[in-house]
Amino acid sequence: MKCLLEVENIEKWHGLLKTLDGISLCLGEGEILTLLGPSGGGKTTLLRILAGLEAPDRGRVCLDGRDLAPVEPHRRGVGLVFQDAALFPHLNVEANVAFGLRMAGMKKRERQHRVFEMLELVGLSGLEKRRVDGLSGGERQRVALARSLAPSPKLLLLDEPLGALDRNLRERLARDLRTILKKQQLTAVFVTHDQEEAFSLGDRIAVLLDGRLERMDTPEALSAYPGSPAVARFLGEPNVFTLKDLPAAFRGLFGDSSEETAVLIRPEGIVLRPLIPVDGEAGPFPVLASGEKDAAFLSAHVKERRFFGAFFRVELDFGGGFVLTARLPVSMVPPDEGARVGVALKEGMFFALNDVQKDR
Amino acid sequence: MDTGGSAVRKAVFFKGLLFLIPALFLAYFYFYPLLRMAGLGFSGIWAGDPGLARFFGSRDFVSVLAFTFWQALLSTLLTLVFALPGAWVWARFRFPGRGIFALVVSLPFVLPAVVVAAAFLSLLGPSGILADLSSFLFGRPLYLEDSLILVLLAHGFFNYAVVFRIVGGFWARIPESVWEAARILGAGSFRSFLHVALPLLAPALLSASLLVFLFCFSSFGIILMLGGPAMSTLETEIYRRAMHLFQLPVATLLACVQLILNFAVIFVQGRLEKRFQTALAFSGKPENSLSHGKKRLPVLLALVSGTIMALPLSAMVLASLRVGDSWSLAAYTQLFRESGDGLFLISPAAAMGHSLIFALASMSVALLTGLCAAAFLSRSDLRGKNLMETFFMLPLATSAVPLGLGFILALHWPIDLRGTPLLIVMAHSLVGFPFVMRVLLPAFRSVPKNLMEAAMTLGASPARTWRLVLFPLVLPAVGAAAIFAFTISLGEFGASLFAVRPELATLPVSIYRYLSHPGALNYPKAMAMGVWLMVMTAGSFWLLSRLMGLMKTRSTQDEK
Amino acid sequence: MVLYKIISVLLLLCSMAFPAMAADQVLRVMSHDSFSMDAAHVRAFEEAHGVKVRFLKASGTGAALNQAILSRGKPMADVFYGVDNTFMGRALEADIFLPHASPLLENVPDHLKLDPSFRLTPMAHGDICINYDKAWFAQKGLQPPASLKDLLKPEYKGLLVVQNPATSSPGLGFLLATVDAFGEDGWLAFWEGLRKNDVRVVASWKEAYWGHFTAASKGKRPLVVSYGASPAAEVHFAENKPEKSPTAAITAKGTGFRQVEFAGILRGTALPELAALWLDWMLDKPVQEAIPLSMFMFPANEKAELPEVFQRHAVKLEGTGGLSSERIHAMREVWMDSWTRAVLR
Repeated sequence: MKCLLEVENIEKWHGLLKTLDGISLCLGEGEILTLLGPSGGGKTTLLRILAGLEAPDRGRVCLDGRDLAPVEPHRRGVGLVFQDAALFPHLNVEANVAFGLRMAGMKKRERQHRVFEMLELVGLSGLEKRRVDGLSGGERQRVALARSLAPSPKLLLLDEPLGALDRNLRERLARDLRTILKKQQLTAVFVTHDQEEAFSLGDRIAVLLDGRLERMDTPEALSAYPGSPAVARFLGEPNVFTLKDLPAAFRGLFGDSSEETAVLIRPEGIVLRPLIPVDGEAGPFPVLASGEKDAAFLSAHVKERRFFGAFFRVELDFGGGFVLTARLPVSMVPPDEGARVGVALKEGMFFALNDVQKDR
Repeated sequence: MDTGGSAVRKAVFFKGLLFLIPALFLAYFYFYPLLRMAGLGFSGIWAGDPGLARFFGSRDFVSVLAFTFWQALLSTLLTLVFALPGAWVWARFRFPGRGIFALVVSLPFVLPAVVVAAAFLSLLGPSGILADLSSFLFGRPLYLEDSLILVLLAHGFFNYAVVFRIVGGFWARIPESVWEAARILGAGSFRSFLHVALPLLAPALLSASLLVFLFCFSSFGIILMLGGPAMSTLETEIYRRAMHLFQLPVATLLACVQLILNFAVIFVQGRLEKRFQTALAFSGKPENSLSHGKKRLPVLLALVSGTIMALPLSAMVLASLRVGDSWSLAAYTQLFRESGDGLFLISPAAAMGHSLIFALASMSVALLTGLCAAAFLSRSDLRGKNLMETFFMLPLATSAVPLGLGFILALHWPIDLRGTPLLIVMAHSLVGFPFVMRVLLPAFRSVPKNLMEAAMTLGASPARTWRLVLFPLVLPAVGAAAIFAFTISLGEFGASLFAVRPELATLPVSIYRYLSHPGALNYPKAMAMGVWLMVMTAGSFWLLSRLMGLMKTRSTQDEK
Repeated sequence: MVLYKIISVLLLLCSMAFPAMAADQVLRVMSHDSFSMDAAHVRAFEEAHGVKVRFLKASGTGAALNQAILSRGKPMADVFYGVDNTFMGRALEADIFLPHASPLLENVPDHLKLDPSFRLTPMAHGDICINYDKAWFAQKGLQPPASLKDLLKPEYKGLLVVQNPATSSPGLGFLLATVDAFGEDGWLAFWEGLRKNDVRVVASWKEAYWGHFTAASKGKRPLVVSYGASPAAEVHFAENKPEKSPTAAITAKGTGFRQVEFAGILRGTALPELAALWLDWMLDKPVQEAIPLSMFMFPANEKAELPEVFQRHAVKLEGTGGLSSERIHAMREVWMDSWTRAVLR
């Protein structure tokens, strides 16, 4: 794949703190990359380096094969949409959108045409003369998007543009945003700390943790295989362990991996079974429904049980400090807290993590 | 492909220029004269000046220092007691005449001390209105002269605006919900003041108090004119020692003591102000939380407060209309007439013209230097900017006398500026500069950095970013700063008296000269000029309040 | 745009500041606040010598001199008017004046020529003494005090207003009069007595005379430290010139101090010849004859004729004291400090 944006081994220090550590990535033309990571993970810094607002301490950024280091931000042809829109309060909607065109020296008539086009694209036709401080949060972000799109940047950077909006609006805007970006065939880097946004928007997702690019892959692949324990934890996986922490009965499931191998058990891959009390040494055995094949089996206490509307979350205490979190569909009502249940893991819903390449 | 290198060079040059303009201005017109003056004083100290032992060896020094502190403290307390009710009423209630009330109580601050003192004398002095009234009513004239009470009253009158603006402005931004919460939690109005308002207002109160303290600590004209010769503060003692007794070593040491104390107060005050600016990011919609309730107490308070503040000003108006023992407009109709031969006592109209020209010119200089300084200091990546900010604020607290003497000592190089009108312009700019910076710096800092960055990513060069984004956004503040500098120059007295040629006298200097010249019409004429000065200042302030309003609406819209 | 405006204003100012560069020579005269001169006279001088005359005024007598001393070598002006005999020691010690023996000095009496080095040229003199309000004393049936000692009597309690010697030259002159009258050992005791007798101290002559003296203001004090020429001024400035002055001066020997005012050419001036011409011109009859009514001092030039109002109402001390200007120069600050402690603290 030909790289439009090529980032090589970027490093950035803020005082004694290394905010970015050896970031390399490549973005093809028309591709949308979402940069996912916790706040303080270095996403915004990377974005600002791409925009030229900060200089890397090491490494280089190339756009279209050209090294950007000596190019000032206003000559880079890189657009940036800010989290708070950063609209110019002294200009109306039209003048905001036209700002970049004015800078590029476009004639007034053409400018008007382009502004009209852009506002139509973001669904704000007719608001040209409105003052920006009268706009709602969603409208402001649309104006900001239109403003960044208007000068046709080679690369569009978006810094959590939906972060300040409420949930419903955010989902709708995220959908629209992808449609617009795709329609314009824009190459874009989208920064977010929201997983859903990252997964629904990006062609690929780059996970940035503590200044390091932990993983970069398509949403599907990332979802299927988080790659490292840190990424898995960041993606919200509750059951990430090293092999030696697991009860012996589970340990066998992972073959002959080493004691230190990190393993992941998907919460939706845990099945609860009622226990049948049987006299004898073997202790309680569960009843197996016919046709199900469970990979492992043990019993545990229900430590906590909570209903989340769409599912139950149950914490299972196996004793010895080992607790698993399970996610059960509404149809499978879990027993009360304190009850003892049999626990089984579904095939394919647990795997070792460490032996994965960082990215393709 | 060397654009980057040249861009960096350009940025460095630009940044350097921003620093250099105010720095050179201060270096040449402030630090250089002060250092020359200090050098002269210290050489006298080195030589073992006998006056030093006489002054510092006796109780004189301690008693002057103690009295300076004491009167400043009392004045500050009195100002607080006096101004807080007004600030409260203005901040919390909507009532008819609210704008006029704010204007009336703000006016005295920019009036020259000569005028304030004259106004007080025409109200409470031996031949003032109170004396006339009381001798008519009780057959015995009641009046004040050369008294601490008179000084304290004048300080309170003068600094009312400081407390009013800082505390009132802050109070108005505390949202109604805070008071409602306090009420729901069972606090009565007194207890909610004690436990909610006071702690919330504490930083603003402290900051305003320190500023008032600073102004009273270095107050000059009021002490000199209302306190009598026996009253001696650091500032007046510096003046007497340097100007009349020519004991430069004593004056220099005193000035150093004063400079250090003032520096400390400014530093602490600046810190406090920054803290309460960040501590209270309440939604800035002051107008919305005003209660409409028809409470009598607030309106009454505003009325009393406003009347008290208006009294000395109206006394001045009355005095301008009283020629001999009858009422007359002669003082006004004669404003354009020269008195005497016109060589030394120019006509009031001419003085007004000079004042305007000087005010415009020094406004430009103060604005240029203040803009550069504010732009430079507002850069977040600057090291030691707190200290630098305090340094730039220093002219605010420097005794005019050592500076004026330093001017004479130093400013003949490279061209002789002494005795030229340019010197007055520069002196006025120096006084206005800290105020300009104080107004501009928060404005610059309040412009979100990402607006500038947005402009840059949209293809605007740094220069265009400045012109098209930053400048329009700080423009109302620039206007406000300009008016500040303008009114300060209008009212400036000390430096003008020092450096002016008689045929170029400004309005305050003219007032002073007319006040001390014989002639039945000269006193009312002086008062009439005071009234004019007041009107001009009030007009400027009216404009200022409009601009501030503009800024406020803009900033509230930003916060939405 | 704004920048252009600023620049244009600055240019305008510069053009205001340096008109001298374009026009003819400028003679700068530095003086104290009470200096006054007839504009017609100044114009005559300007025309006669093709120069412009520009005045600089700097506060009181002492303050103006101090500024001149501070700018020693790089003077702000060419001529200085207004050093008096209380400050002349300071001026001579600082050596800020060029010697100039004016030919017109022959018309000046010897007792005014206090500087043998001719750096200071006497221009005018006046006697600092106590003035009283005639009507007030007549109405109270009280005799005005005849000597300084009388001022300590209870009947004169609360009647006198004086100036602070630290800020006012008549105040300093009166202090010197008391030193002269009571001796260096006794004068402080006199002031302590005055303080007990409720003397009032103000900062300046103007404040004392125009603010507290019963005959010239709504004030409460019928006794004031002023000049022997003040009664003449009362007549001159009155709207319907009265036959007799409403005030009178106490001129008994040992009650006052003779103040002599000098002018000099400032060392470092670019125009020494012109400055000398100015001094000669000031000492010449026309200007000297105008001095009484512009500054209410007696002219130094004996040839100058006094105006009628002066002849009739202005008075001189019946005897002047023996304090030398050297002694004054040596002790002035010590006396002032002692005075301040005794009277004000």
